[in-house]
Amino acid sequence: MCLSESIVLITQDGVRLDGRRIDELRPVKMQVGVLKNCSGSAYIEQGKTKILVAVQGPREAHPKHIALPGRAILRTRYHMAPFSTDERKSPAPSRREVELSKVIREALEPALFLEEYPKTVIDVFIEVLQADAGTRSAGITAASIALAEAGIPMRDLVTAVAVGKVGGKVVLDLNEAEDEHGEADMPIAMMPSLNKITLLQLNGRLTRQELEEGVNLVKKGIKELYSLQKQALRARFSGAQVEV
Amino acid sequence: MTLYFKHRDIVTPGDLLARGRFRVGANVVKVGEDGYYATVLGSFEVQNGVLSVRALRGPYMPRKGDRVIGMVVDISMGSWSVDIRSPYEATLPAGRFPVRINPVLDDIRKYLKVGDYVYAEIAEFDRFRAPVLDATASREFGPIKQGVVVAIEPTRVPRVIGRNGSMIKLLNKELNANIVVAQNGYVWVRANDSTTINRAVRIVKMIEAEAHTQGLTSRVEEMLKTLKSPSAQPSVSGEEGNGGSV
Repeated sequence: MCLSESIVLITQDGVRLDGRRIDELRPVKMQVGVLKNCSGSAYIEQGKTKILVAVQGPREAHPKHIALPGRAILRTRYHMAPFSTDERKSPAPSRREVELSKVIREALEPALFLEEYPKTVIDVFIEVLQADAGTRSAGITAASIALAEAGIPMRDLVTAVAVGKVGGKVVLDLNEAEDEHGEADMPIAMMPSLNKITLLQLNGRLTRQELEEGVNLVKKGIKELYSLQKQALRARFSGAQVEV
Repeated sequence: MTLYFKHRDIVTPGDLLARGRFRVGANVVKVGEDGYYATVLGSFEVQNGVLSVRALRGPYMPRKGDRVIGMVVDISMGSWSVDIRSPYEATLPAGRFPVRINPVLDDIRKYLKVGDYVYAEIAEFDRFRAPVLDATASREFGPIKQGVVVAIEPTRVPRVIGRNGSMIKLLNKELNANIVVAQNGYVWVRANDSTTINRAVRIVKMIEAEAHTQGLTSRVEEMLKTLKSPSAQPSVSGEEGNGGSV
């Protein structure tokens, strides 16, 4: 479409700008329990994207009238730090951030047993420290392990990653350049063990085949991320064995 | 009937624990015909066909009959509001205070001020009603006037108490202290001198940190021995503001 001729995002033999193949994730680092004054926390690096997540609660809902009698409410705040982008981003929540907060909440909600904590609120704060594409998916991946670290019961972890179309090819885990100059971007979140999709967005155009190809590619990426999430959670309590 | 994890393995939410016919215990869900999944991060337990997961961390959920320590956060006409470190704030009605109070004639502030700790039992709690405390059922209940209260992770409480109270009995006997472990993760330490209190706090903190490991009792015994030897180093203050002396 509007791909400028001067930038070659992907070579003929399928090597991308940063040297990855089409089905490779960026290097990922995850850590859990990084903050002290909250119920659960996580830090994730996916390529140059860096995100910190804090979970607070379940705690009493204030003001009282927002509380629901039968379940906890989940509040998510996706926020980009002013220094997270090339050009300073105003710290006030933008239209995009408000929307992403909602979308992320809806991706996490199906996994949580919110009915176990009626009349309470669970807060999830997602702070993007450095943005290089894929922040909503990395945010979801990190938020779910932060929730798990807080001990909030859930059906499964939620893992997310994007696929996109770059130079006519379907590729996994877009970086900033690919996101900006590519033809399509499709973030997907899943509960991997249960094989259920909780978020699917598509920006751009894909054919039916490309979409299917993309979903399969995402499943592969999510499998890798899922095992990293579990590793990060286990590492929090290394020494593994429990005795009573 | 297949088990995918061993007894006491660490599992994460979404881990498929077993397939077949089992009974569902704490923190496990059945999905579909025969799949059993973990819902929290914790250690997997299998006992007589019951699958459960013991959470490593998590909020304290009040249960009727639990003995808890709370901090007074607010006072109204006939009751105190008490923070029991759970998602729900508890109330202690003046009528359930160990001393007879007439709230109409008496200022209940005389008995418990904001910031005071109180030891009591959960008398009532369900999904519709906030927890109500009762401090009359035992002579131990009432305001905490001496010693130190430290906070630990509520999920580690069973480990600090030990099987049938074995760990706490050992500590009390060896240290000549009086340690009370409340179900909501507050530990109340009383002793004749501050050195003993400091030692007790350090050991409790150690048990909390290593609650999920094996051979804890022997390590506790070892630590008791080193602490009691004459060359024992002066204690460090490691409370980090999550507890307070009273």
